[in-house]
Amino acid sequence: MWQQMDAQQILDEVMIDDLYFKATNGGVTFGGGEPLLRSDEIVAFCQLKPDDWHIAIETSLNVDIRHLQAVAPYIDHYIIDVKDMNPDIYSRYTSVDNSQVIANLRWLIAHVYAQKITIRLPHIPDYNTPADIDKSRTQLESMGFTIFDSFEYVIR
Amino acid sequence: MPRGKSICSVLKTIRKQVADANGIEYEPRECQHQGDCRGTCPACEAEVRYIQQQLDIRRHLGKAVAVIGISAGLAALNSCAIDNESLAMPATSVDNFAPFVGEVIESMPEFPGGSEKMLEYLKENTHYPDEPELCAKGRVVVSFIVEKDGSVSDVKTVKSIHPSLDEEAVRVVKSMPKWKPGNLNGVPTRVKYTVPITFRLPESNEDTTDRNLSPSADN
Repeated sequence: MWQQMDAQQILDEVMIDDLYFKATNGGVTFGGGEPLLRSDEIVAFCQLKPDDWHIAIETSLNVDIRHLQAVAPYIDHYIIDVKDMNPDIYSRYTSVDNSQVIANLRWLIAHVYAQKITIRLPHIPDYNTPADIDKSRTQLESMGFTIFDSFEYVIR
Repeated sequence: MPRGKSICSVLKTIRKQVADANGIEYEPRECQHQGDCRGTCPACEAEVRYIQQQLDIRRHLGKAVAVIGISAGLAALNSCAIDNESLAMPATSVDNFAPFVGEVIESMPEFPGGSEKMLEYLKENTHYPDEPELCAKGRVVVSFIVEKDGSVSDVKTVKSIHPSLDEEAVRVVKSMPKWKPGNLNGVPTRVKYTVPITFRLPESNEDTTDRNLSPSADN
């Protein structure tokens, strides 16, 4: 059950939480699907929202870089699920390659403070191992990322 | 504790912290609803609107309000906590008592023309008492009930400064025209409301002929 809404309608919908957002230094997190595919709408929303709201985005980062560049001025925190940095593991799990993800990670770390980025490193049963996760983390640390969230995927 | 109740409790705490930080009279009512809920409901949202309304009044009066980060650290909520269960309103009788603000009211009472008009009305009709020896100043907080027919009753001061200023504040609130009443489940209902009225000493304190013409109250 879902509903198509424009930026103003979304804002109207969540405005009742304005007090909570401000009091907790909170705000809105865009999740998915892949929210960056709606970068135009995210930008429109951010231009309408009250200044004190914080905006976070949960993304795979596997999108054209123009989407990332469009929203970057408005995002306070990025939560990036890189799956696994190993291209073979990534491709086996998602059926697509991760070259765009890595290119976007490079752009991001060159333009955004590392403290604003959380990298999610899932253990994906049957696809990667704790050793693979360690390798991903080492690679990401060498790129400049510092905040990691390791967790377990539940495959249904 | 069901997750909805846990969210409800956190949101209530946030509301209370914001209210307390801004001198807003607010006592959240314990929700009587049993079972799952979404953590918020029309009754909770009415409480939020009440606090926002009170904050707006203070902003309109040029007063600093404290909201940003007041409850930082209580933000351990996420959207995943919202389930798909519909929320039943708690069963509450509204006929035999005057619900206090923010209890289960769907829409708050409204002065004709809105909050700004109310402030204009109070400003235009509040006068610093013409008593040569009087030099008190500050904020009198007045509470009252907006009845089902929109009339104002049970007017009393909940924060006093001086008997003469208290009396003037009560007088002007009693003189207000009928309000649009509050509403619960589409039915007009009695709602308690508070307004702060600030008294300043007239600039021409020595010139008593000007006392009633001075901007004696700013709301």
